[in-house]
Amino acid sequence: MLGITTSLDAARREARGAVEDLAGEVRRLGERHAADHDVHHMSRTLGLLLDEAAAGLGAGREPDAEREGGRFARVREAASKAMGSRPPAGALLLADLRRFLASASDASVACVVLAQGAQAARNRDLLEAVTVAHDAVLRTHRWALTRLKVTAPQVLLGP
Amino acid sequence: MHDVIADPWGPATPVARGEEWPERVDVSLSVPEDQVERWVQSASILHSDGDAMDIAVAGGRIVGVRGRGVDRVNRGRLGPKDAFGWQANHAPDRLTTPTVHGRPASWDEAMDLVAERCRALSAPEIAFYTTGQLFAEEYWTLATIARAGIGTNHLDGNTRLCTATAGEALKESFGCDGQPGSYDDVHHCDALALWGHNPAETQPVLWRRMRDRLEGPDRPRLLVADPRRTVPAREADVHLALEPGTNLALLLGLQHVLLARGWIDEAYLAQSTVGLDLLEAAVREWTPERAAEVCGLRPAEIEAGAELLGTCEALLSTVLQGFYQAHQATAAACQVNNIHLLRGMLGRPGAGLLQMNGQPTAQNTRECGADGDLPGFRNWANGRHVQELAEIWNVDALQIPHWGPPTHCMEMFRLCEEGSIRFLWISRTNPAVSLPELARIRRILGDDRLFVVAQDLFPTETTALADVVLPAATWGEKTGVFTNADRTVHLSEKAVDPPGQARSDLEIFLDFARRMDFRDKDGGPLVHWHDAESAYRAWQRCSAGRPCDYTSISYDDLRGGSGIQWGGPRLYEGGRFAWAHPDACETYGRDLLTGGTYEPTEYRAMNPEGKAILQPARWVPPHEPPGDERPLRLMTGRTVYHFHTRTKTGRTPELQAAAPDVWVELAPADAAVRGIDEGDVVEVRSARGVVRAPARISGVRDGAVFVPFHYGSWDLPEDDDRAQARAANELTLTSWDPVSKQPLFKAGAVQVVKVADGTGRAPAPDLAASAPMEAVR
Repeated sequence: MLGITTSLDAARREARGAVEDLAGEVRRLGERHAADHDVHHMSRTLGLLLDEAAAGLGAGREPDAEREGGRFARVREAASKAMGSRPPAGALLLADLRRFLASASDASVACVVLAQGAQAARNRDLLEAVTVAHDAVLRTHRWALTRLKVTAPQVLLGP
Repeated sequence: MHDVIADPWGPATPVARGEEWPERVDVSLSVPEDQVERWVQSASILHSDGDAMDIAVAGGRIVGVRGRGVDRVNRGRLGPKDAFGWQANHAPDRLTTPTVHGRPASWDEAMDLVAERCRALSAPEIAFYTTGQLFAEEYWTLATIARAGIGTNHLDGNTRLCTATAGEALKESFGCDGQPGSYDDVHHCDALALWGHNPAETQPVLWRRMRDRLEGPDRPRLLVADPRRTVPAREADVHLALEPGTNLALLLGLQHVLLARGWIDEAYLAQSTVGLDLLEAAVREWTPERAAEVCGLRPAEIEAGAELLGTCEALLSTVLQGFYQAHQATAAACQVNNIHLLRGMLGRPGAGLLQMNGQPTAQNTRECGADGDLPGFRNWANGRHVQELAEIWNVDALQIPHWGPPTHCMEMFRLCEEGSIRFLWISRTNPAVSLPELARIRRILGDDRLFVVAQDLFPTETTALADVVLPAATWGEKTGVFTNADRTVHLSEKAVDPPGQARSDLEIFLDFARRMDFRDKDGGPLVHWHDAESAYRAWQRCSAGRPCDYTSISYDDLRGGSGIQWGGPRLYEGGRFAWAHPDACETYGRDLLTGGTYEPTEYRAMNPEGKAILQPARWVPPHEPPGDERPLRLMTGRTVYHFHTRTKTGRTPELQAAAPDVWVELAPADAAVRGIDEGDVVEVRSARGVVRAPARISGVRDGAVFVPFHYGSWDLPEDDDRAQARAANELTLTSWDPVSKQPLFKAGAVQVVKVADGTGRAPAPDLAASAPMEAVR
């Protein structure tokens, strides 16, 4: 849930948190759809990219224990591989991509808010960091949207 | 002719810069020449070179071949597969009758069943997976059936495995597919760079041409980037034996030096390109030291490579599977394009670029829209292009799927696995040996929910899993046109009748179209052609005004003389990139890291006037890095004697004897620490499977393992315990390049362990890249 943001530092923490959360979400997407190799492999690449982008935005929250994978991640992957050959796999992916794109949009907006503030504050370092972060978020969004466009017709009109 | 098995490249005919390549007519006959009744014009379909040849006929049978001295591609020369491969046409186990669930059937019964299954399904449930070995007329017909008849987005070729990255890299840099360079550039260059390309084995006649320059009076300098000590690598001035998975890092490092030293053509860049600022930013951190560290090279090697590239007058580059089937394939191949743009090395004699093809007719798969693009290099995201096609087919534009990129083969198999595709028609390819992670592919093809049609010459590992098997005619038994890796178009004429009831792929597709009764929007037949030449005329019309315009190349033009290049000797003369214009381009581009597609408005803003695009890229580590359990990196590849899954070359006695069985190549150091000697039986183990084979201690880079991918199980005894431990793809990872969707056969971690003492030397050829280390040190 978005709070009321009234300071540059609050905007920074919010953007950082959103990018960090998106990194976690893309990894979970990859684990839930481990049988889909594109999603599986790309989620790791994007996870690293987003981690790096989040780190560039300065101090944030403590690392999320689940982010490193662990027990839950393995359960999700195993469940995906078992489910992966049944028809609902595509429908689940479509639903997950829709939710994921909403998160990516939120993260993008948080980056825009911060970038506007950084510019007005003439804070060059912060502006550069948020530009990098926004690029990572937009890249992630573009990838997910492309996947969604390919997935939707097959789910809606396939068997 | 010379002993083409012992010497695949044949006698030298050295040439100086600017000289024509002399004729050397090779003849390979099984009867005395005076017994040949007819010579029938053709070209080779066992590699992408398009070596022109005449087929010798006596007594209604093919009895040999003779190189065509008049042809620009080979000037009469033949490689080992050219010289002997024709014998496979006569193999006793050719398929001669259709089968339905394993029992012989009539064509009517088989085709009625195929049509009935299609009619019972909706378009998204139907998929076609074809090859890089049909003729243009056949791809065009198949694309018409799939796109306009059925209206499915699921049509792709096995060219996805061999040449998809070539097409994508050309599209990303120049807006459109089409080889900029020409084989003639070999004769005009003063520097030659082979990027993951081993022409000595993939195209032996092209390598003969290159070597004739290297042995001539004004030798061009040679750069080779390849983890194996290939024949070209042994001849190279600079051999960059980089670690698999690091091609992109190498190219970023080389460009860093080119920019730092000012080895760039600023006028050309200003006039002809966009994106220099982004490229500069992308390579800034890639100092030779950083690149060398990632690639496992010395900084001085990167500097030497950049010096070779940066100081020549006319650079010819070729790129192939070492890049296309490796990590970040398209991004890396685009960096080679960047180098040519940075140095203004395009569109003039010797300054050329060939993003090579792997298969003989892969170019046509791409041009005709049978592999993930719309016919005539049309852009699925450009409404006007789709409308043009709709007018050519006389259908409503909405009938043609264009809501997204056409489905690539790896995604098709994923949808089959999900149960979302129910009908898969495989024409002339053998995915049960050629796709990654074979245990999975066998499971998918064997699933009862999927109806599989397989159309082939021989029983294969794939036909064994098919519901309906259709016997096909091949080269020499049918007529059609195909185009090689430097845009040279050849006509291949029918020399003999096919065996039994076998039919050409074109006849089979036409029969299917009749049974399905596909109609255009005025009620006329959608597929209104009836034979090869009328199909070709329809294709000519579709190609009109596009880069691959065939309207000025008729069957008659192709008869008698040399093959003819579409687009002239070289594209992009004068630094003009007309096909990159937003209204003309074949793609609006993808993000090289993720494959996410750009919108038309984004492309238009980035490249409003249609210039070449310098593509920045970011290196990331491979998906499956080596670790403690599996410390070695796997690469699969080919040998000079075989083609693909050996369905033809394995039935050719001379070729089969030259490379009779699978082997595993290891570097001396990696073999030594494992106690492995030449010929010892080893197991290569990945997370997916196992291959068991004798070891060859070769000149492969430390830490890398090479396994040829030709060896499936069709020629093993039925109870042989190697049936699922012989094909290299038992080991490979299901992973693909995000842009070209080409599977990554040169990726993935493995361990190698000795399982038994050897009984002799490994069955690997003792020449070329598989030569034993002591021979090449």
